Amino acid sequence: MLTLSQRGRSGLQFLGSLQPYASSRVRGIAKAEFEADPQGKAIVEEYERGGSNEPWPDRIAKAKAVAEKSVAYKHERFYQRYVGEENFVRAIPAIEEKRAEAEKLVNRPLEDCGGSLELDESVPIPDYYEGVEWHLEPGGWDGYDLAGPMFMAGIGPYVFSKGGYAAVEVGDDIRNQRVDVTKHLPKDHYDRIYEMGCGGATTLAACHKNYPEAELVGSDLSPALLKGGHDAARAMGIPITFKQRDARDTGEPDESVDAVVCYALFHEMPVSVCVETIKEAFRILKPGGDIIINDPPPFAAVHPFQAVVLDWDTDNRGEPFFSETCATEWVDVLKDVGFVDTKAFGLGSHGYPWINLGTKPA
Amino acid sequence: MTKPPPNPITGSEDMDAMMRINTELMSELWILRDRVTVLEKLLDEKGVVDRKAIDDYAPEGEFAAELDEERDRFVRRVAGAPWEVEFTVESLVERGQR
Repeated sequence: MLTLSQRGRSGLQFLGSLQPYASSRVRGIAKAEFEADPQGKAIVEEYERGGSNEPWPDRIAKAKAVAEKSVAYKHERFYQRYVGEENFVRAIPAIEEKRAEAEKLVNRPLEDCGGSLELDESVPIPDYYEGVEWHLEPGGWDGYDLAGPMFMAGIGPYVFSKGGYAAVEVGDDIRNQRVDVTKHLPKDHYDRIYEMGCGGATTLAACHKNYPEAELVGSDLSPALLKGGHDAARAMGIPITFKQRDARDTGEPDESVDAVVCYALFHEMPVSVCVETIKEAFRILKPGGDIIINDPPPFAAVHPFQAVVLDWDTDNRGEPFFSETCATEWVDVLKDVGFVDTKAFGLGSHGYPWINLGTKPA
Repeated sequence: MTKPPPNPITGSEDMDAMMRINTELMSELWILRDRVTVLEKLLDEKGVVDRKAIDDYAPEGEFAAELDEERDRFVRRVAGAPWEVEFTVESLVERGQR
């Protein structure tokens, strides 16, 4: 494993302390002030009665106006933005200090364990995807050639693992969450599991833990993430087939997979693209096959203050589709597309992970 | 280029700038405390020097110049925090190579 310099390590560790403090203690004060405010109180009471029929942007705007009265809210949001930026402002230079070692790590020989990597430059990059710097990562997923070591040796262990950002709560174990979520697929055995928008290998490795016999296939638009996933899978000795594909056009034959997994994907796409993705999942699933979607919870499922917190990411943390996707109930879309036995529920105290399940009729 | 937030996070550009300086200072202070703690532990473990010797040390010559340069970088990083809000992969790579 790559060891960062003292500045690199301690600077990132500082972020990993600041963010959880801000999102627990400071955010707790802000939430209490929201609930104590007469308008905030009325908004919470309305939510507890089942909510109004106003469009979500209007409801969020009212709640946000109350939240913004709080100095604690402003400070907490400031720290969120600061950490979001500084993750990369600190981690990229820290990795550059160790470029030779990081390159050696990226290019280390790995044993073939049966998986593969199919990159396809002809896959069109959609307009919604082009130029977006997701999560404030400069250059987007494919912008920095040493993004793998940057996450593995820096941002991952020192900041992300501490939680306290976006829908992730302080202390959440984001790796084990993937195991817990995929465990909710309704059957004990799957022959072939396909993950759309897999990014790397983390969720498919969780699937492997729960369903060790399953053949695993993952697709994504990002060549860098797919390559990182392929390397990680080989390092773990898990055979996974990675393909560069748009989730709406996987190229898989009709009725060829037993389960489809979409993990933290939908909030990165416009709702119309998500709907097309669900239709593609329906097409490639065998009759009786299952789909599981995990994403941030819908606004309707969370406290109005938490809805403001989630909505904030749209403009301030490189999450352009957060608000529109949180305003959508995927379980309803699953029903519309033809899935049955649908259900949706949250695992964590604030509704995240939020699981949506459905089965293609047999 | 990473987009700045569409509106000041705290509602005021001045306040955002002051918060940036303050938070950067807090971070620098922590990085330094971490380093000093590591250093003192290593020195102690190796029996090289005790704390009193550190307290009594007066920098001079090349070492004093090294401290000057480090201090200048420190000031640029802290006082420059509100003005270094735009960054690219290239600018961050360059920063790592300085």
